[in-house]
Amino acid sequence: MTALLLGGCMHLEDPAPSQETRLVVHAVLNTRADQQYVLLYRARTGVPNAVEGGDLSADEPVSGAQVTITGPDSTASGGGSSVNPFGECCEPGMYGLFRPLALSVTGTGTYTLRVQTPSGEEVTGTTTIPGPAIFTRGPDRIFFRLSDTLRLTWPRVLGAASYEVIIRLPQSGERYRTFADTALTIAGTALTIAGDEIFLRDQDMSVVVSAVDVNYYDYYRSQSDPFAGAAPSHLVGAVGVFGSIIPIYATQLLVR
Amino acid sequence: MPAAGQRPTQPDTMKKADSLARRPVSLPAMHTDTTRIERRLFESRPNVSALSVTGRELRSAPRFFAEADVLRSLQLMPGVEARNDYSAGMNVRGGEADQNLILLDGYPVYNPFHFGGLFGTFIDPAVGRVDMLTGGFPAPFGGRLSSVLNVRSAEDDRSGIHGTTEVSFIASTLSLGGALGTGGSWLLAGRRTYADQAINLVKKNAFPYHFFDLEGHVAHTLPFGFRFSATAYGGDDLLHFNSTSEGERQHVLWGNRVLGGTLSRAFTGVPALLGDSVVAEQRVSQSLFDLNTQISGGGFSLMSKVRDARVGGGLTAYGPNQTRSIGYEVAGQRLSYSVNYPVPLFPTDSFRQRVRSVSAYADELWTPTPSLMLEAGVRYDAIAGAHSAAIMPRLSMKYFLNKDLAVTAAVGEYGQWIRSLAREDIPLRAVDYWIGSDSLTPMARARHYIVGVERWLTPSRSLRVEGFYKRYNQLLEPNPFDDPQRRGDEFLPVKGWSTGGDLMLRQFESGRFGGWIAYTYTLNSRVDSEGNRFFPSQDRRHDVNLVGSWHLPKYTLAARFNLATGTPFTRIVGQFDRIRYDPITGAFTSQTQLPELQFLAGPRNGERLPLSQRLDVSVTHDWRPGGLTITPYLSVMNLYNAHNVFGYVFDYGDAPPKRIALPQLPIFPTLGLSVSW
Repeated sequence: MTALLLGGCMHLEDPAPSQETRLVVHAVLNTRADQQYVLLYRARTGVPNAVEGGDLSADEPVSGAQVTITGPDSTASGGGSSVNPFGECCEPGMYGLFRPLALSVTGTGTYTLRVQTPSGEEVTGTTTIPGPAIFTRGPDRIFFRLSDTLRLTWPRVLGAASYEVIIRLPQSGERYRTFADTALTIAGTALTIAGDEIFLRDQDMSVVVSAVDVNYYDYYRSQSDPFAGAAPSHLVGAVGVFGSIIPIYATQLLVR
Repeated sequence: MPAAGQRPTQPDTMKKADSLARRPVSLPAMHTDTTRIERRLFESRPNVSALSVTGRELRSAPRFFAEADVLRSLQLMPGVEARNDYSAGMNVRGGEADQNLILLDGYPVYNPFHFGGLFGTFIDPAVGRVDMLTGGFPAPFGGRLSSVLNVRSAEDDRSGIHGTTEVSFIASTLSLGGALGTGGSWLLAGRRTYADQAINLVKKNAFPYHFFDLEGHVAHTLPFGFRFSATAYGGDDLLHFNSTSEGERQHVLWGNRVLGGTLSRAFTGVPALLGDSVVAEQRVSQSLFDLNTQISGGGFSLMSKVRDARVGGGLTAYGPNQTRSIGYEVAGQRLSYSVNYPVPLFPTDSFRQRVRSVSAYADELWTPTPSLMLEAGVRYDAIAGAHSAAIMPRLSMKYFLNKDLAVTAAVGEYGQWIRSLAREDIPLRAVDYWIGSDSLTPMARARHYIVGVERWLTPSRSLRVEGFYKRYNQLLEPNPFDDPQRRGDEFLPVKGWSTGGDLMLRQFESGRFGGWIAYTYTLNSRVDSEGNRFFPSQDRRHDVNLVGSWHLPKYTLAARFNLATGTPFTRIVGQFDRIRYDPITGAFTSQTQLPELQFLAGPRNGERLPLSQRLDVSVTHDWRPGGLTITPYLSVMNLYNAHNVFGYVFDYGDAPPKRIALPQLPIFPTLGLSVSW
């Protein structure tokens, strides 16, 4: 049927009118990170981009915004600086808040995000960091992909909406990412949705389990489609996420 | 004695025949004028919103992709809407697509579709008759909110073996049947597509898909006045292929199995209180649906199963002015759905359920005066585990203004406790993923109000006009963002109503021409869980179908023209990239395995697709050498290649953004051959 749909495509391509711009915020507080980032972009709505897209997205980065995160003790941290992931100035649309100078995210509590763009738009959101939680590093171990099965269990963390498990290569990034409750079992021969092996032979792969808050969980667990719209956001004035994550377990697998 | 509706053209010849002992004799010609079943129903029941169509009439419409298809043909009836060319499913009088109870000889079929909804599962020559109730159905029917469709197997009780074989561009079909003893019949039918085999000759595994259907039906009279009938059906869709890059096996398999039997007996000499006769009937059936999808060697796995077992029965007492019936049904379903990874468009949840229901009904058809007919009934449905039980009254009436003209009305309460996780807003509906009511998802409820006028203009032409209003008090719609770790959020509450009217002017085949004009107007409104009012995706305002077949001495011409206003859709107003966070590096990353494009949706169903139109035609030639009837045919779908729009895709990657129209089916000519004996 897909073939029929595509094969019968007609010359029915028309320009569509541009729509009102929408701000997109990605901000995740991580208790184990030295710096916290807030990404601020404009969704692609047909309005020509004033700025070329950043490294992470083809959306239009928004520079010059005032980004403030207020902690549970009412101390506000933030500024208008834009940095790249290495702390170097200036990656368009990326706002970094460094610990301990700018923001100290230490554990449980509710944090508030406030963004003001140069054109006067305002975005707000809150996140409550799950916890307290102890981070555990498991021992490195040899994992025979043809015979072994990865079995993980972890204790519940107060306030966690779910737990995200990421399996990744140290250099080239993640292989597999999923949410689970308090246990996960993956066969060594399991494949990703693209049909790739999750566990790559002769590679050292890290496995990380993190507790996440409801904002993070709702935003990242859902798949967007043209009939449902974007994943649920708990932000006011933008779409996207202001959530929190606490890594609680990590281990290294020497895949054979 | 001549049967009812038959009259001799000469005085009675029985005495003359007796006196001629064993010598051959030529009897005078008889003119047979059997009353049509539609006319008999008109005279004998309120019959509100009921359609009865023979297999022959359904086959008279032009074929769809070379296949005569019951479900496609029903889309040409009043009150029945098709979302698009790619769907054999239907929305009845504004109802959602999962609100139709589809039965094969009274036994449920859960996903009667092939090829992602493009074809129906019913084998055309095996269909004897189709009865459809588009609303206001009486107490014996329950479990769905909008309609009941009962496909009855053909019963050919001629002696010898008779059959039909068809060869088309898509599939081959063989149907065999004949008499079984005295007053019985048997039927065996099968169909298989063979595009996979044909294309395989040119390029191996280029089209590794086929589907098949097998159906058997027997009806037989047993000793002591018992009558037994049984139906078995099995059909599968099979898609097997290897990934060209990785070599993994991929497959998508789904199919239905139905096995059911009915035992009945008529009793006479019953107490006068019951009337002059009583018919007792007992049914038992099992229906299965199984979907198994394994993509990327299991990287993506999707499974859906339905196991339905039910027993039911009833007693119907016939009297001169009253027909009373009572009945019951006990059903159990095992439902499961699982998906191992979230992907767009498919439900992300996994669950297993057992649903048990007990139903009972009482129904009385009463003719207090020759002009008035009343049918009153009540149905009780109780769902174990859902703590849901409902008493649902039904009432319908017919008042004859004269022998050919009657006004009708019906009102009734309806409940549904099995529903689909497939979202109505998605215009392609490959299969339904069924889930039942439990303590977290209540029974959906609706109330129907119907008024109408039915008139027989001539003995072979009728006109029916009906208006309807349906109120949905407890409707549920699938939640596109449900949480797989949480039970109970799979559906969101919706309420609303559907109203409108439909008309059918029908010329039954009596001479050269047969056909109908069907027009449907619907207006639908729904209110979602956040209080937002919207037009549901099936809200097609105007839909007209002109269907006709002309029987010439050697040829039969058939045509179907459809004109329909557009259905609503949600405009995409923008898109953005979802950016993943890496807790190890403490930074955002674009290195992910998942599609991260996010769509910004405008007001729900705030825009409409343009008007669509389609003309299908066919010509068949009947050739009768010996005892055979050989019928080659040419069928052309969308004769003038109307550019109808299936839907829009928006691309905001460029400035200005683009709107790309996806087409409905283009012109498609096909040839085929049918041989019957």
